[in-house]
Amino acid sequence: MADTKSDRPTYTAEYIKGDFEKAVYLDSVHSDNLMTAFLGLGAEHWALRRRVMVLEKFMAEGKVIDPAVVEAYEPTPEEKVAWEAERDDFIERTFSVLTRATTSVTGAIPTEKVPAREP
Amino acid sequence: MLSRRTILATSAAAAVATVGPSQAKAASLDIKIDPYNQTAAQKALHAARFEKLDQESLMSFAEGFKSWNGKDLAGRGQRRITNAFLRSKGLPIGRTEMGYEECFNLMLEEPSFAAKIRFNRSAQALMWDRALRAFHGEADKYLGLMEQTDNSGPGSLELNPDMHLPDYTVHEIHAQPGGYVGNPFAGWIYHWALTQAFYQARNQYDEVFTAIAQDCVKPVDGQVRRILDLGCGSGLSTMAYKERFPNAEVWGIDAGGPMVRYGHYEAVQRNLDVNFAQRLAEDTKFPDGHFDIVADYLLFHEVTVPAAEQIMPEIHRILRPGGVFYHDDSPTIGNPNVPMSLTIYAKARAWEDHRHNIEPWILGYRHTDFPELMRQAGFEVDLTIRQNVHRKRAIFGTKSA
Repeated sequence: MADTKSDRPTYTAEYIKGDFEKAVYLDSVHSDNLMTAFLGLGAEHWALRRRVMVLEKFMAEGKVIDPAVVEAYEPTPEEKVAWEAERDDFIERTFSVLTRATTSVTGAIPTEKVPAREP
Repeated sequence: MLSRRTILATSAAAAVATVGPSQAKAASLDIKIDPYNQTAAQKALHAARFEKLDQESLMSFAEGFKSWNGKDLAGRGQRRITNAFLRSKGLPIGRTEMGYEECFNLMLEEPSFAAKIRFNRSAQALMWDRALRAFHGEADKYLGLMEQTDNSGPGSLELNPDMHLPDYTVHEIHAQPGGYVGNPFAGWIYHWALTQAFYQARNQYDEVFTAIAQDCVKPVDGQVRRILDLGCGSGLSTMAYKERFPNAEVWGIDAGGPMVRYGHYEAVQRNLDVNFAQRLAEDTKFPDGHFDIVADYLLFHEVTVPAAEQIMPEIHRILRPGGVFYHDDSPTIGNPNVPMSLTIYAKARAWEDHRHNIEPWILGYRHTDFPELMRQAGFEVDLTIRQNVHRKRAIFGTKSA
């Protein structure tokens, strides 16, 4: 880790490497790896979605899209709130399946009626 | 970020380089800043934005995900599921004498807890990895930026690359790649990833660190000529002390060379006259009675108990009579301001933090009677000061006049 692409001084020192990357918490290492990959894809999706929102903004304003300006774009306070709400909604609808109950389905098909869904 | 850095680079370039540490000015000045109602200029100064849109977006996702994972899985859903799980095992929901690791292994049998831990760890790794890639991807550029300020002011920088670092300081704390000493961009990564993701949108403009500085109690005589920020990390709290007390001589010391190097770089960008030094908290090198205030934020849970027992007398030594020690860290026994939960669930989470988030010394810290440690060093401890509107867990100690 102390190595960089140059021979400039880095003021680093030897360190003790942790073993946290080896940990398995689920039923198999493959499940752990899939969860991590799933999370990474979520991050990449959000990065693309956010970029599209910036592009849409410039397009709506009829501006010439300059890549450098897109990179440096800082959302307004209102956009920031709106974008974070959209992000949180994306995370909720994508990952909330993880909060579902873990009981298995057994016995007969349910017969209990519930109220109709609201429009 | 480009516009902010461009503007600030101009002021930094105009600053006169200093040949030594800055000195305190005569009059104590105390500037009030509302951490959560900053002016546009204060926000511009405190903001940290990645240079590329995707870098910022990836960190935005990590921030949102960590927030969601903490809230939805640990909150209403997790409590109900955990309680049902423990009842099914005939185990107590309240305090337990079971060991930390035993609690963790038990809780892993509950699928949503295991998923939560998996996501917690993966989100932490994502946060660090994406920040690391941003800085290592342009290593020469960021090394060059630090080289430009290593020997310029305002303020000063002391690096001691040959200093002996005790083993306890060189772990990959928080699973941060390379830890605080082994990565040249440790300070950048720590600041930017924490600001963007760890504090989950609560520190985008240094609100947490500004609140810490603003909450500090002054000595009874009101004199604040010198302040030391012990274990200053990337220097955010150090800079916040300087903003509050602009006439004071403010120091930040840390074992991590890359941390204080970044702190100095950032202080120059903010045109703040702050002194940073790579030194150990148990051997600060300062004279007796030198400081009016010594503060630490999240230092003591990162050191061993024997080191803490050395650091406390050192703090007492370098404070002047009537000086204040301001401690802000996670819960320990003996601190009624932050009750420590010892349930199976809480112990399982604490073990995750210790073993899987690489907090090697936090369990020893949790079970150290911290107020008593302060008293043994000679401090008069006041556990009733909760004047801090923002932060509730601080402990203040005064060196007898």
